[in-house]
Amino acid sequence: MAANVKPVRREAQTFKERLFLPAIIKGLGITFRRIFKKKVTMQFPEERWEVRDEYRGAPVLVKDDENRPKCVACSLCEYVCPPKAIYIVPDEIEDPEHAHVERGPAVFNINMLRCIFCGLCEEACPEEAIFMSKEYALWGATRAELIHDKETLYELGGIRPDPIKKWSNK
Amino acid sequence: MGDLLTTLGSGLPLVGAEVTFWWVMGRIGLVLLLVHVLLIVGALMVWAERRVSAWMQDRLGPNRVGPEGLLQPLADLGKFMFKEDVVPKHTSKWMYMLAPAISLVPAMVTFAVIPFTGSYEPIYGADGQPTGEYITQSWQIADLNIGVLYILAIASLGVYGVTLGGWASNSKYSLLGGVRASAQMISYELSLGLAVVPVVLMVSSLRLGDIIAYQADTVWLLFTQPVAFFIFLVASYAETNRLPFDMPESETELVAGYHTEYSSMKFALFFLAEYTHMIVGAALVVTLFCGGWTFFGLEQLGWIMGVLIFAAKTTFFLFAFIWVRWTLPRFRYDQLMALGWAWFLPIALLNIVLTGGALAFDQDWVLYILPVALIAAAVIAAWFKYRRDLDNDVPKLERAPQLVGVAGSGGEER
Amino acid sequence: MPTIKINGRDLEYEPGETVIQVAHRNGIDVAHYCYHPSMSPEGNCRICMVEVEGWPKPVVSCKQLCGENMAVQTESELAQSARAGTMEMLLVNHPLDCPICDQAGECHLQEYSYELGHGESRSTTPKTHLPKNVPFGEEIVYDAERCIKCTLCVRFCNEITKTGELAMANRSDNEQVVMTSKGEFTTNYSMNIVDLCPVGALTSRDFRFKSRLWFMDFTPSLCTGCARGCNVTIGGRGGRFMRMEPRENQDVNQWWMCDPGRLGYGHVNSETRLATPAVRDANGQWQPATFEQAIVAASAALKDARESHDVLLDGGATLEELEAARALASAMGGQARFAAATGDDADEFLIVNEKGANAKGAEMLGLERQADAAPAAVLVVERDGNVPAALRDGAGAVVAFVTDATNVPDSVRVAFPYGSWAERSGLLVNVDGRVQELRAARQVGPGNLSPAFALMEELTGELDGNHVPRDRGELVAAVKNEKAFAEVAFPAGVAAGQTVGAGS
Repeated sequence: MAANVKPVRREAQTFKERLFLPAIIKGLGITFRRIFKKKVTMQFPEERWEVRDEYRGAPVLVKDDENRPKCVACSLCEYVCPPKAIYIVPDEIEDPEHAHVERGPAVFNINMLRCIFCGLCEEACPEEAIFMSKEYALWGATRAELIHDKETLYELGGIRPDPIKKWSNK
Repeated sequence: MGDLLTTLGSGLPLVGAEVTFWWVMGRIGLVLLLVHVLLIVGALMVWAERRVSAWMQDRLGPNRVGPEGLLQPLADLGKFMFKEDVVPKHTSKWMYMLAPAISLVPAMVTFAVIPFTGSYEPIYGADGQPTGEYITQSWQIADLNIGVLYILAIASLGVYGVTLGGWASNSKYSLLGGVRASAQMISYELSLGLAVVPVVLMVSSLRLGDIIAYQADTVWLLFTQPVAFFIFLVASYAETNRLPFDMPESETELVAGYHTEYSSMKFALFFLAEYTHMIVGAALVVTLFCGGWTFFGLEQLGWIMGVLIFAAKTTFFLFAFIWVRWTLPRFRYDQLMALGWAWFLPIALLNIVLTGGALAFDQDWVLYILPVALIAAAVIAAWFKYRRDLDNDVPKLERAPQLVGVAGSGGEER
Repeated sequence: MPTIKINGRDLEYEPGETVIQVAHRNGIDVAHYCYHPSMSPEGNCRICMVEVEGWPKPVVSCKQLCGENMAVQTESELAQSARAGTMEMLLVNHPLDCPICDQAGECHLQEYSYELGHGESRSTTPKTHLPKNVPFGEEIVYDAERCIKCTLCVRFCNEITKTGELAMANRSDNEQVVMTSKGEFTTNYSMNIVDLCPVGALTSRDFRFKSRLWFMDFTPSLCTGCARGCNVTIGGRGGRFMRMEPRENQDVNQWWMCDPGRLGYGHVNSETRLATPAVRDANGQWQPATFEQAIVAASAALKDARESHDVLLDGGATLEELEAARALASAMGGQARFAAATGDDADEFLIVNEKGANAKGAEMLGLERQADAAPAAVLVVERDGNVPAALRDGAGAVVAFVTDATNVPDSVRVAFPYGSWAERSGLLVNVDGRVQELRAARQVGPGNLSPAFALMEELTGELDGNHVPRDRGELVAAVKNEKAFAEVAFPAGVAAGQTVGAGS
């Protein structure tokens, strides 16, 4: 398309530019000054990012201040989970102390290899039992290790005070 | 203490002694010592390269293994040892195995003639009394009277390792890397050699010890031969295949160039060879142009001081190697060739002619005018070359398109 | 006929009909909890209130008889506010524990709360606490807090089964359903009250906490527990049969089904289901095979069979399978027979003694009923009860279509996986001679099963070079051409020769 060709004439390099040396010396100066600047590297295992409260890390299950598992296995998170990372088998709660809650998870697995940290599970949860923690450094030597089971999830989640105490009056 | 060390140093049968059994043993011991020093410094250079490059990029670099990450080379060694040693099919097995060694050995052998320290010998008058003047006596493994020639001869052998490795790998990337290495070597060996000629002219000796003594007596050749120094420095970068001349590796085009197919310790040898070449190159620049192990009389404190001065100067040039690498981008291949043949070669020749002419006057004041004259001559020569290029070859001289005022692109000084 | 005006439409009614009946018949949705067409209206839930123009107060449409020139508004401001008020009152003491409630997803309280409710409670008093997790018999769990006291379950036991196990006790906030002095259900239809319950007050022990409804796939199909052929909806999830509920069909089962039929799906979820064809190798060891390999092996085995050339089918086999089996038997030079269990638990409501779901169809096709062990070359077994071990082992068959791997007799050389009734599509003839369609339920069973009739047709083709395997439509057409089926109505769709594969 000759009609669309627009010849552009650039200026030729000056002698100074052609010598390159001034530019090289300037460049060396830049890199040399950089040596003494403050470093941005974060020493990871010791130093960690202070993530903000709304950060979405690994989803975890929490217990309330009475050390009661809050999850009732309603499976809404399993339903809403876009990558289908959550697997729940609901069951009757046998523990007489919490039997009035009736229903809890027998199996609660979150496959962290599938999880996309979207936080929809936290949003869907009617019991405020699942939260996106600030934990972002997940690792495992095998795939099986990265499927967090119920125990792992409760361990990661710990206790989260519950102002509503929905079940204590039930 | 100083006396003890001096005595110890003098006791070492390094200087002008007869060839006896203990002399031979001493040499062997020294060789072993220097080989280890070279290997260790080479390994440390890997660490230094990573640290310095990190600093230049606002990072920290390896700082985990040992204090400040100094033991990183050991960790790397362990890694290299346990990596699978892949020998691809269709390679020429023998040459494939030999190439890394051929690459490393010449670099180490070159170091034999480089003086790493020395002593001051008083000059005795005819009456047997010290005249109050001293003569420097350099210490090295082999005091060759053709030291400069030896270095030029041996150092360029290193490229055989690269070329052989590239060829024996039977891979297009490796082969291209090897071919580039040899072409580059031929182009820059010329400038390198011609840059040394003015030095030899001025010192009137090929012995490295004499060159150092001359500089200790008068002034560093860096100041009297600035153009030769510059060409030698740049050419030594090219010889060591360092950026901006790392065409044989050239990751963006050739994967990893001549050592694409190498793994494990064989790769580590190539790696080490590159750094040993760097050490030798830096040591040579120090010896030929920067007074070697002398430093304005400070070296008179003892041979240990000589070692320290030599080490300090070499370290500076090693740093310069790293500094340049992390500053400049890679040359294009035609630019590389043009620089070697069309710029350095003529200027180096001009440099020789002018130096020779100046020396023909045999006057002391010549030395003061010489550096200015040489730089002026080089710039004028470059100007003529530039004008000629401008007349003949304008499109090649066009400026590259520049990014102007791109929002958010940021500058150096934010 | 007299007419009534509902939402401005003139609608005809029979004298004695209530407003809600006329409205529902004409597609006008009126919310209701305590109303059920099969039972006497009580009007205690008050959610079905509508406005009658000119009347001072809204009326409950389930008890209000239609009258000439009545003008009813179901969506007027008055009707809406009446419903909203009722909703709010019903929710005052409701625990709102939908997350743990099995009814969530099909709960009318949930639906109407969403559509008609306030969204928030003005009540400040604590909610009443009533018994939870109360067993009603072995299969039903009662939660008095969720209960809205609609009395549908009580009326069911009084009016439908007439056994009277349930009654209302106490008053006001403490009102709840209790079991009468009987203490347990004496009827086989108790679990219908779980379906009837508009909220989650009555839940099935069998299905309790098993799965949320929204994970399940529902397929309209038939129950094959007996020859009644009750219309049901099968819910499946992830290869598991989850639950079964009756589907309204006034000609067969009305709204109901029996408890044994509802719970009789154990063999569908068996751990030992045969999922792929298997062929015995030279050492007598079972090896998995593809359907193609298995058909070749089966035809070779059948050609070698000397003792018998008959085919013995489960009484639950579909008409398509029976027709294909007849062709297979005649290709071998034998005949097709069927076997089906006979019970003694028939009642006057739904359960019949004939347990072969398609025994009637088999007899109409002229198949002989077999009661005692007799030789057969091919076995088709789904239910252990229909073809018991004595019949299976006594047949000496070489090819078997089985649902469960444990039902394969030792003599068999080639075993094909046979879908359970929940995974097969086909036609069944119930005890009254009514042809109904069985549909393969989604998300039930191991999947990837080839329909048995298609396999039998392939096998017939292998044995008889002149036989071109027929598809489902051709098999149905062949059945229709039988004299016994000349007067029988077939379900629409299938009659047009539509081919539907199993497991689809």
